[in-house]
Amino acid sequence: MAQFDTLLIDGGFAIGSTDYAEHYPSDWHNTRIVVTVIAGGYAVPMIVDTGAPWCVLDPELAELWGLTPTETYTVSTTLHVRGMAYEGALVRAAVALQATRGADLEIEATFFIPRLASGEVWPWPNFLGLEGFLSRIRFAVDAAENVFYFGPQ
Amino acid sequence: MPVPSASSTGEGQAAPGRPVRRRVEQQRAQRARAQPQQERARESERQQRSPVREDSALGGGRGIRVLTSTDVGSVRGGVYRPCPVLEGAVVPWGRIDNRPPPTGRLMPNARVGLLFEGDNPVPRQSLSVEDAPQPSELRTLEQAAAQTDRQAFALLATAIDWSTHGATALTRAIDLALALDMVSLARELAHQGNRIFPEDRRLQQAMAVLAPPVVRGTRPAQSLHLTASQRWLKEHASQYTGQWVAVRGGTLLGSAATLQELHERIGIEGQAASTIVVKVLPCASANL
Repeated sequence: MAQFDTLLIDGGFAIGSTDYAEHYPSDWHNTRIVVTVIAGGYAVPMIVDTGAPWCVLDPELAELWGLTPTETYTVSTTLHVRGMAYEGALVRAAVALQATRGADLEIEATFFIPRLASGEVWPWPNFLGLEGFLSRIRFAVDAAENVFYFGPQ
Repeated sequence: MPVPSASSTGEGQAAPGRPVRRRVEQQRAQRARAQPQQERARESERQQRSPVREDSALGGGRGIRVLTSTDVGSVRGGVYRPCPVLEGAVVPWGRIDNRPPPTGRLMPNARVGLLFEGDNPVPRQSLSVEDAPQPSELRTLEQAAAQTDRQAFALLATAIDWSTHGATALTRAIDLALALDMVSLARELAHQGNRIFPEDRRLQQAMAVLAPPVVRGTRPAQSLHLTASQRWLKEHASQYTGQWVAVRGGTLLGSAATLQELHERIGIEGQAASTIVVKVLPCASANL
């Protein structure tokens, strides 16, 4: 049990907490807040990034989850990652923040799915961004114990 | 979705008054001289039965001229497509939304606009156009977006009466707002769009996608034992750079070049919430 579980979960700020990983798999030189999201039947690591306007999902994950837009018209936008502009579609998907203590939180959020050229692969991680996800939940980080608290507003 | 480009005639608003009318009549006369005699006779008969007239009042008071054979009915919406044949003269005409009654026949006439055939005058209720030359306020909006002038864009977008433009224009405004990272404005425009054009699928989609996140529910935390898998990834992931890997309980279930291949490879037994699925990125890529 983490130090502030009682205060934050029993106190009503959060409904669950999770021990987050400090590194995205294969990126061992940079410290991140990496939580696990349950979606499409799998546990998927995602970086919590308040600087990202949208949640970002690898197109292969989107395809596996049946999120690839099929309509003629999709709401589209451009996301800049490391100076590179990616065109993509905004889609709606439900994911669950996986808790270690307390309860999981299932959220229907907006994800940016990049449109890639034929043969191109998405070279970036998955992200939980501000506008489409984080802005509508309560969350707190205890960096001393690597705990991410979350709950509905 | 881009707003269709303006026609060659420009604004889409006719300059009212005699000079344009005279030009229309002159052009009609020129074409009549070029027509075979039989066709001229038919045309004359048709004109006598339902003479073409212009009615600027039907243009919604915006200086738009409408040529029609009857002034029965009224016009809603403001913008009309210029008649393509009458070059140099901006003569609007529109597509009829409502079905013509069985006793008469509404016929879009490339030369004069809308023409009613048949003995009985046909009530014309509302006109709408699919494509229209871009009004100046929409052009100004595009310019503000192109110049990344968010303040001007926001002021314009909130001031425009979108009910006088088509759903396409509003959808374009939403796309531009998103391109400017003005998500709240895009959301507001989508809401407006749904009110004004409730049947438009694109606006329905925009509203759904731009809606704030919604909490669907909660469930008790599951013991997924992910720590062992996270430790495995830390120790072994670098051996699978560029590959998708699936790890459960600290054990590799499989790896593949694509997620679909991996999904098929690990089968139904591997598909579980306790299975971590991740693409091992090159070190430089994971660093943002």
